[in-house]
Amino acid sequence: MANTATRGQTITRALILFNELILVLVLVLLSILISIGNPKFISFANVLNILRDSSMAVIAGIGMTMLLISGEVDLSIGSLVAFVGVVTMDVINKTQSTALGVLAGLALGSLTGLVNGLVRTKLKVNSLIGTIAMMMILRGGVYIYRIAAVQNYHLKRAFFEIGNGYVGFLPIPILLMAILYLVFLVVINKSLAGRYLYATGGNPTAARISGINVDRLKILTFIVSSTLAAMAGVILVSRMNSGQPNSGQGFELEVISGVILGGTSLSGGEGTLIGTLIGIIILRIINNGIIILGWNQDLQIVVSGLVLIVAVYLDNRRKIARAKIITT
Amino acid sequence: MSSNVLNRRSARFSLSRFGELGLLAVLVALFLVFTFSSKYFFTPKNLSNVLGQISITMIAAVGLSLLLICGEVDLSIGSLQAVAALPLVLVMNATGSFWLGVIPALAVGALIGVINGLLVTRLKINSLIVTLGMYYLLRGFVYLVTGKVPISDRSGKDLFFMVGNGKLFRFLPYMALLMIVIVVVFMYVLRHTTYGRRLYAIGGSPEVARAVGINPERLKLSAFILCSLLSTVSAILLASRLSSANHMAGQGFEFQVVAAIVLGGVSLAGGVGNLLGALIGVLIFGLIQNGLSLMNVGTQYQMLITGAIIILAVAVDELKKRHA
Amino acid sequence: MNDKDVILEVRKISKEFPGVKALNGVDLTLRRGEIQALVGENGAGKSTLIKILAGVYRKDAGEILFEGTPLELHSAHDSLQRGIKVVFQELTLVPQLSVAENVFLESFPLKRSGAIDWRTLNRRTQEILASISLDLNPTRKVSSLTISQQQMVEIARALSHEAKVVIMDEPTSALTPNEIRSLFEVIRRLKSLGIGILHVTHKLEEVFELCDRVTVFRDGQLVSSRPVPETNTNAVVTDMVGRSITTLFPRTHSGRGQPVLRVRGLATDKKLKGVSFEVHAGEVVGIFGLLGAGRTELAKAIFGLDPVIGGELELRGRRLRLGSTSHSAHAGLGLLTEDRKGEGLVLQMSVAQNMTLPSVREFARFGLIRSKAENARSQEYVQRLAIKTPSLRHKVEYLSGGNQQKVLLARWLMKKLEVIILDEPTRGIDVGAKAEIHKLIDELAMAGLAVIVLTSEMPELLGVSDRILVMSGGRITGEFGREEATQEKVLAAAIA
Repeated sequence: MANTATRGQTITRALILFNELILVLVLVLLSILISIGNPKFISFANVLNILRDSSMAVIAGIGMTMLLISGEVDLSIGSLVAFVGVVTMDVINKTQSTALGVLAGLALGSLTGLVNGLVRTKLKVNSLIGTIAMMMILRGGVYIYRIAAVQNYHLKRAFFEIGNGYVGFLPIPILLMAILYLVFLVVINKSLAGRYLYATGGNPTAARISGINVDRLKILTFIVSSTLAAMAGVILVSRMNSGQPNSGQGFELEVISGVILGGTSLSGGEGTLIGTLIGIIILRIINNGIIILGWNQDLQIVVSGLVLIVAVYLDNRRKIARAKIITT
Repeated sequence: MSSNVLNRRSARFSLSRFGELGLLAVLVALFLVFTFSSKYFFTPKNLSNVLGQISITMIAAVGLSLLLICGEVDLSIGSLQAVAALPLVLVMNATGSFWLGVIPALAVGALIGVINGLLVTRLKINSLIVTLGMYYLLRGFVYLVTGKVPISDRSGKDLFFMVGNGKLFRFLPYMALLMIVIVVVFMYVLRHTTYGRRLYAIGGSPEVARAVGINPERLKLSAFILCSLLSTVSAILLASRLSSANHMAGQGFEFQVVAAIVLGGVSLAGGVGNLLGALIGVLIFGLIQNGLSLMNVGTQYQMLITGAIIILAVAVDELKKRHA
Repeated sequence: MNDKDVILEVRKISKEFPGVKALNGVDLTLRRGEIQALVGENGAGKSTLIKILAGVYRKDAGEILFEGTPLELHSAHDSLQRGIKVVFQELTLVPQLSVAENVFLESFPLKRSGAIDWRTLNRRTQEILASISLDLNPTRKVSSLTISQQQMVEIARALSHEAKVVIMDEPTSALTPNEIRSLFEVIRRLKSLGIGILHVTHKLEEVFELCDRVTVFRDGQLVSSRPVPETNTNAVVTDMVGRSITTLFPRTHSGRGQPVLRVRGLATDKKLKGVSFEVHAGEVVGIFGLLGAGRTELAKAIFGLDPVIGGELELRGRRLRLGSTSHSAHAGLGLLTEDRKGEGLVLQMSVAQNMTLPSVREFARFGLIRSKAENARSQEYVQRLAIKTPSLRHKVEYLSGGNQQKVLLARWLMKKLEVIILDEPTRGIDVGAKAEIHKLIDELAMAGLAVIVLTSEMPELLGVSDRILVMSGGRITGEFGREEATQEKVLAAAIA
């Protein structure tokens, strides 16, 4: 019996290692295919482009990964990003301070996260449905706040830099993404909070018995995740140079598809940041490829929807495969 | 003892259960509130409008209720509304025949139902996520094919126009008649056929159902197909009202329907609920929408309110479950 | 002597699961119109056999003969079609449907139009219920019935299929004495209809009151099968245990310190009706109860996992906040749950991570976990408890049941606890590991903890406890010291 255990363990280890390897292979393959269609794809400038465009989804993806690990999900980040953009621009317009505007945007994110967390823990509403409802509330809310786009009347340099500036040759969004990625890499893998996240998602009762305050942890995770999404919203509004109430459509789809594709499970208890990074970049490459090859942009949503279904299917297969290997 | 059987029959129409009585009270209250707050509300024109809008929602709600009762869900029915209108209008424009357009529309609807059903039952993927993916996929597809430009009806068929806009005695929309027929038929199916009772069984206790020889997968597949077909009917009616295949049709529709029927007592967990409750839920929603637009409250508020109602309805549903 | 009367025969059936041989060539013979008791301690193989007869498990070897012909069962549906109905503790009813619909769940009587013929459905259900003297409205939703009534509906279902064999799996665990009486009436009715009944139970007084024959399983084999008038309780118990009870679990000491935990009037809205007791440092209190008595509910209520509607807890003289697991955990309570995979282990995490889960804060500095310290401490316990694992990083889901349990025990040993509650600590574990775990329980007490062991295994209870509390119907119904406790006394209190 010990033999079956080790054999089983090796197979699953292979499946998991395999997973990240497969993803990298897919990434490379896609890049090759697209650059055959348009050699500009592989240029240094375009690669930076792709990374910079991915930065918003990756930053939000960090939060989403943590949420999924803890067994929850958040579909409201698309509407949140739009709201944050509008509010941030508006506040900077009114106060002439970039810092205040960014703070306001982030605060809105944190508040949303708090509400999502409370709806989940106190009202016991399933987070998938609760955050879909929040998505509607926020989308309605942003249009109530402002029907038309908020233009940039402040022309602040700092604001412009956030999304469009450089440190040396490195675009600032990429820098932000890298910093946040590294910070949360440590948090997820090495910190107490990270350990508690995995336990909460893996077995909430066991976590409770071990003294973990599951409700508080989930609320905190929602808050952090939404704040990160708000950060992405700030970068977006800086790049678009106007706060548009109809922005962010499909953003949640892109992030969740990328995260699940990267190996984070919908059922909780597992997930890695590197998987999320690769998953989101793959999606970005597909979208960037669509643009660079001159195809219809609406294909992006179709592809994202397809990827979501495929990603969830793969996630399922992994779960079933591992269940077969477990000894009773 | 036979009196018990009679009781059983009349139970179908009695609203003795607290939940439904409460909802009915809310419905009546809303009706009164709107009657007094806007002079346009209680007019034949407006009421018949409301009836019409509710018909479109309710027909799709019947299908979605079937799915929820057997334990699944379909979030793509709104996008389906846009997709199914395409073959309808295109074929109608090309051939000048309404019925020739209906056939491919229904076929497309059925096909998507089959795809959703197979993805869930064969590949065992969570139906919420799969149909969410379809929600995006289908919407994107419509954008692609139409270039985000509505395709107008150029056939000028009277029949096409009448389906969605015609009224009996200048008051009762034909759509409403269709809705009533569909609701009555499916109420019968859910109550009095083996098929219907089995839907409840697989939603309530799938393991028990399986142990008893019922095949949950096959039944669920059929429920997905029925849901899509009914949504397609609803799509055809909507296209008639818009006189076009619009790429924005049905945006947010699925969430409204879910919110309405959950409000009406059809539980997301499965095995619970009936069409009467769903109808009341849809009526309440319809009244709110109508009342708000009469008071010149924009659609953004409607979206916000729908979201809030979803949270409320599910929270109450959860409370009921925990105190069962 | 009456081969014609034999309706069901089981020959040399074996069934093995990874790590444990549940059935080792077991035999059984059931006659028409016979009520046969099947007894044996936990792990003797009773539930495995009936799951095979129900079509839920597939047998590895041996044969089943039904009315003389060999029977191959492929599914639960199959088993019922052939005429074998097993009434499990987890009832196979759809709560949202009515009694009549459940009784005829497989096929409703239909009118010519295809619609359900409610009149016939309800009438036939009424007839079946009457045949077992049950007065129940067939249109009632099953969710509105009591457990006892639901059981009857299950039996009615058997009759609707003209079952020839009805197997009842511990049917009386959740019933009141009145309900038990009604159930026995129904079973006698079934007997008069010529149905063969297998009554799985561990309540010996039921065996002698109701049954014609008693069959004893032990360690997956048939030990004896005798007509009830020809045997007595002692003989049955001896067959069940097969060894003198006391020698297997030596307690090295039973010193008693200060009272550590005081429970007063603890009540929940579902099961507990006001439980009071206390536990001292260094003492092992065994709590016994049959299914439905409320043991696990008690554990969960003390720990704060379930909402409490009344009563109070005192830990070393200080009032403990009820209903909050983090408070309980931080105050020094530990709980080893009954369902170790569902509620105890985080399967995707490693051995070390599972072990340190409640104490991981100790290994952290500035919020970051120091793996070296964590691994060193985990390694200590792996050695101390002889846990078989290829490495500390091994995912705990691949360990055997016994080793998983040890990981959980290590988890609680690692933390400085005041009170530990162990719920069925050796369930589903082979004999060797069982003995090791009992030794650990002893060690825990020696270390000064107050140890509460919840168990339904009599030998374990009598061997491991300094003091025994018996629960029934959500209350404490008996208390015995180690010396004075006997199986009979304990059982008597358990059905009180």
